[in-house]
Amino acid sequence: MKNVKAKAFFSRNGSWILAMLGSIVLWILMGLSGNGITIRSLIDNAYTASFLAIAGLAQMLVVTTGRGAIDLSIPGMITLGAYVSMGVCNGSNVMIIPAILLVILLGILVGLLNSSMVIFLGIPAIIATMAMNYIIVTGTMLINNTFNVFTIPSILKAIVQTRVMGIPVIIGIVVILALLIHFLLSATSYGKSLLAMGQNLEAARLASVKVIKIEVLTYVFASVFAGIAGALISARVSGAYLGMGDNYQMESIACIVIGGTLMSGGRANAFGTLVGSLFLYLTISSMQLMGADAGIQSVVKGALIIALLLVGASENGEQRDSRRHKFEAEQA
Amino acid sequence: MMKLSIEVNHLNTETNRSYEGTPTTAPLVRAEGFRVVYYPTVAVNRVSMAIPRGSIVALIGANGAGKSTMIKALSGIVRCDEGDLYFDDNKVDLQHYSPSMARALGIRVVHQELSLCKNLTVYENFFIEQAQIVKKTFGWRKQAKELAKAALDNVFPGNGIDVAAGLNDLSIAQQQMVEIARATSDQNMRLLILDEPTSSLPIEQTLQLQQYLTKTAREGMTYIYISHRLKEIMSIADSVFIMQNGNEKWRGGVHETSEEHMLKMMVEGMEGAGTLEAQSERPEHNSEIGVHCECYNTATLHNINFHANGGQILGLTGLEGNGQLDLLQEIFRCGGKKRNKAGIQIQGRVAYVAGDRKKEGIFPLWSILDNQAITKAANTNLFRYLSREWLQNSVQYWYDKLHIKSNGTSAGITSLSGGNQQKVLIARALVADANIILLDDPTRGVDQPTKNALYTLFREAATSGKLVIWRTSDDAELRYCTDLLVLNSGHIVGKFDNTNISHETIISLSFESNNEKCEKIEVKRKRLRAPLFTFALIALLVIYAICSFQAPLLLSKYGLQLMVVGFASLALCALGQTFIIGLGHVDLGVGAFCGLVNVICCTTLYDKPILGTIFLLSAFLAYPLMGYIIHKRRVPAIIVTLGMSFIWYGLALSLQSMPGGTCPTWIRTVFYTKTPVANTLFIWLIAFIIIAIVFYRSRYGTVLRGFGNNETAMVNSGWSRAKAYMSVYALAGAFTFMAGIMTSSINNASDPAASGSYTVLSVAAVIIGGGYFAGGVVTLFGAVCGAATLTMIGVLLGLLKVSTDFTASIQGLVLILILSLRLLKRKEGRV
Repeated sequence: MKNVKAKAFFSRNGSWILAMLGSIVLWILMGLSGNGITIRSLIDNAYTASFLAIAGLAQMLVVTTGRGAIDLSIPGMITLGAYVSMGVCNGSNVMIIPAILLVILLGILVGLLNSSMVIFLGIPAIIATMAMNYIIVTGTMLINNTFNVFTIPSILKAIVQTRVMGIPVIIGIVVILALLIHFLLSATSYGKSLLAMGQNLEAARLASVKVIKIEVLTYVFASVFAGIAGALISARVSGAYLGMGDNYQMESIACIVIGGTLMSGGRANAFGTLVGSLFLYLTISSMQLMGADAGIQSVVKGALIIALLLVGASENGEQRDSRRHKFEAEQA
Repeated sequence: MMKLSIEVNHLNTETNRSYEGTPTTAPLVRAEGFRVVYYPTVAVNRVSMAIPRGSIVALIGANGAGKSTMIKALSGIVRCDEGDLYFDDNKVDLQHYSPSMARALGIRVVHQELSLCKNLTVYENFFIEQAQIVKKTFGWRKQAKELAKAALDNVFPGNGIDVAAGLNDLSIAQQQMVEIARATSDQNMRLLILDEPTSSLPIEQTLQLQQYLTKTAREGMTYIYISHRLKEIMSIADSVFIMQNGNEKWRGGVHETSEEHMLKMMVEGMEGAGTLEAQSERPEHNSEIGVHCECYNTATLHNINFHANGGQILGLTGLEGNGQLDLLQEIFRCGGKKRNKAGIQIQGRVAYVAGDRKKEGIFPLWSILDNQAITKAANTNLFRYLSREWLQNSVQYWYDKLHIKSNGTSAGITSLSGGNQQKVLIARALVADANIILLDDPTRGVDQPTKNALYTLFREAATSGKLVIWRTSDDAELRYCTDLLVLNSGHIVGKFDNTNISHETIISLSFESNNEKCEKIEVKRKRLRAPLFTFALIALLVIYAICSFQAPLLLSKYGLQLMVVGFASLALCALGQTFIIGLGHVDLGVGAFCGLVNVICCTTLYDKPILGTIFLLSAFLAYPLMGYIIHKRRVPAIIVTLGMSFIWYGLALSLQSMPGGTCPTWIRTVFYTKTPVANTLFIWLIAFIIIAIVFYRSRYGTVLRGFGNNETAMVNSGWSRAKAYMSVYALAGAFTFMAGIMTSSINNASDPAASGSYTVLSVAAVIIGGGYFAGGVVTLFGAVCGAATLTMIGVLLGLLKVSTDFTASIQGLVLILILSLRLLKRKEGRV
């Protein structure tokens, strides 16, 4: 019995626990090969990873709605968020609140459009959000020249640069965000409904889950988070530039896969996403330390995603099949 | 396997002999002591059956009598727990019995659920199942068409089915005809089992089928015929086998029985047979809760009139699939809405208890607690904090009351037995405190003590003023209802308040074919169905026309070639993506792979031809390997290809960090040289498109398309899934590979990142071209048109002096527009 429980636990959490162990190993290796095992190197990586983690959390919510949904408009929304916040603020601290409000409004708009395309026009999420991404990118280009996007309001700068006892504030913010999402998913009606519809849409509908409302909200959340991530990223890199969100496209998917979120929907893991993004960046920086070029880094990233996926599918397919058949036969 | 085929040969010679004279005395099939247990239910309890050669045996019984399980055991779909099977007096090894072994013996089944591939044509469906007949590599279509036509005409003369029509264009009745005819075309067949073959057939075709069956039976073919239509049985069967509660009830020649006798036999001795005892007292009437239907109609329900109030247990009965489920779902659907629809009025909160636990009931990743609390949770304010205590308190009462057997509410739902899972689902509705409880056959596969507990529970619910509406497939349960509605073909044919009602009445009402059978076959309105790629082609032509209007040069040969150069690589990527999407997968590594081939071609291959060739070859081989991994480990293709895209891009980047390189001259000569006719690129592109289309139309290409639509049916017909996956990925790899080579020869340089956008664009091209993500519906030509359209949008914007900044977003808008138009068309098609 215990064995069965442990197995179930591992199949649910295996990939992010591995990623966690992997992170520790990488951190020690980096320390051994470089300038000693320091908390500092871990924190630096966590700092970089926290920006990805926000995008990852956004992606995680959409993926959890199930049926292979992926939000490809996240990079566009990150770039747009960066431009709008920088542009509206124009270096002034007073304008931060209207700027952030505007980013949120735009996020709501994009989320509404995405979800309407998916729900009412029946366009597959991956296509709808891809088209939306193009549209947002163009929108950003249009405002590209109207704004001064290289002066950062000092408060925003402070948020991304301040450290309390050596720990960047932004890490704390991201952890709180993850906590919040974890709470939303595990202990609210919204979260339960989202996880239910991701597992089985028809069953959720028959269990009185308000599937349309939940799906719309989820896309809205994702776009709003991505927009805010954009504002923070621009403060970190001191400005907004076109294509700044592009890296987050595939990486946001990679970090949730590592984090144990099911791509087919219905299971999400907010902390796993944090671990996933940390692991991704630790991998990159340890390879940088070892002198691997960008190419090798990318290869290793890809190999990691596939390896973790194969580990996650811990039992082999045929076994699972025979069990399914038995289950189906029982139902017949 | 070897032994088996010898046996089959042996059998065949014997049949030939028996065709001559009267049927030999030894039965063709003898099942002895078949026992099938779906724990805790005994579905078939030591049933022995002998099927004489050249006869039609009718197998009948009320709902849940075990007929379906019996034929599933006979055809190897379900494994027998006990029993022996003799085929032609040879013992069959039941331990290793499978559908394919049954087929090899000559046992075929026409199931109620059709096993056709909807994305293929009629004759292609014949081919995938009868590949041993349709052998020709060239001209197999003609052969398959002839086979299909002959088989259809043989059973249903004058059927008017176009064998070249897509399955989707046929009505359900016509699909049923195809399914039956396909089974009869099997020349190895010795025994055909027909499960409700006439349920959707009109009168004329039913008669034709009957004639065919009696005629071929006289010639030596053997049939098991399952039907609820007793008249049909009287007219065609030689003998009748009646089952009840998993046991044999009666058997004998058709002359020894009559419709009345069969009805009586099916009912007699059933639990609670005879007059249903009226419930001792009716629970108190509660008029605050109610469902009222007046002349309510939907597509499947006709003129529904009834009133039900709190305090009632309203049973919905009739033969399966006569509208009971539709009525239940309709009440749920309307109950969830704030405004009442005309003709139906619902007072009270509805909750639905699903019958098909796996498909529409449980949430497999969750604990009992969450599964039980979800409806209540979903009904609260979306962002209200639901503490564990709150959840626990909500479910505990019903959890205890229902005696769910498990290690507490935090155990996983899948650790429970079927009956206990069902209890959780019922508890879900009770926890939510709904006052109209809709039950969809909740006791299926539940053991007797649990059943009894549930019956009491329903009674209690009614006593407390709730309305219980209960669809049941077990007629013995009707006595627990206070009121009954009998449905037949979507009509209410009987209303009872359960005082003086007998089983016979219910069963004869349900069996009575109130001649709802349509006289003529329903043919889908003949519309000139445009090919899938129409939208893409129109869009392409429109954009091309506008472009040429702006720049007449584009109409010249030179201009045309210039455009082809612009989209050749994307078109090839789109062809590759089409194969993958045709299988129901997505390849997110297309762009990166194209880039890698481009880089290897212009760097390694240029410097060190041998090493370059090795690199290219191994890159290509990775594709079928990917297909194999996806098959073997059942991992989502989207992630595998995403991971691979990182690898492709990384490898390309390691070989070449900055754009540059040179394409080997010979490749440029082959793929990109001016000739008097046209640039070789142009010729190659057309050649590749033709190769792709010809392959997809070939024998194995058809099989691959079949896999995209109905994998189970394909595997059951004996095709290898591993081989199919590997072939599809190899094909996709090959076309993407060629895209990389083309890119090299056009640009005479390489850039790891240059073709990155091809990934999403190729997906978009396939979808614009008329493809769907699921169901194996894709067109190669459409994908090429889609690729061209997407490229032309860029050209057009350039001509209109719109900044290139807009290209991507206009591409996106066009994509959405085309998909929305398609949706409108689909909706219109449905009406």
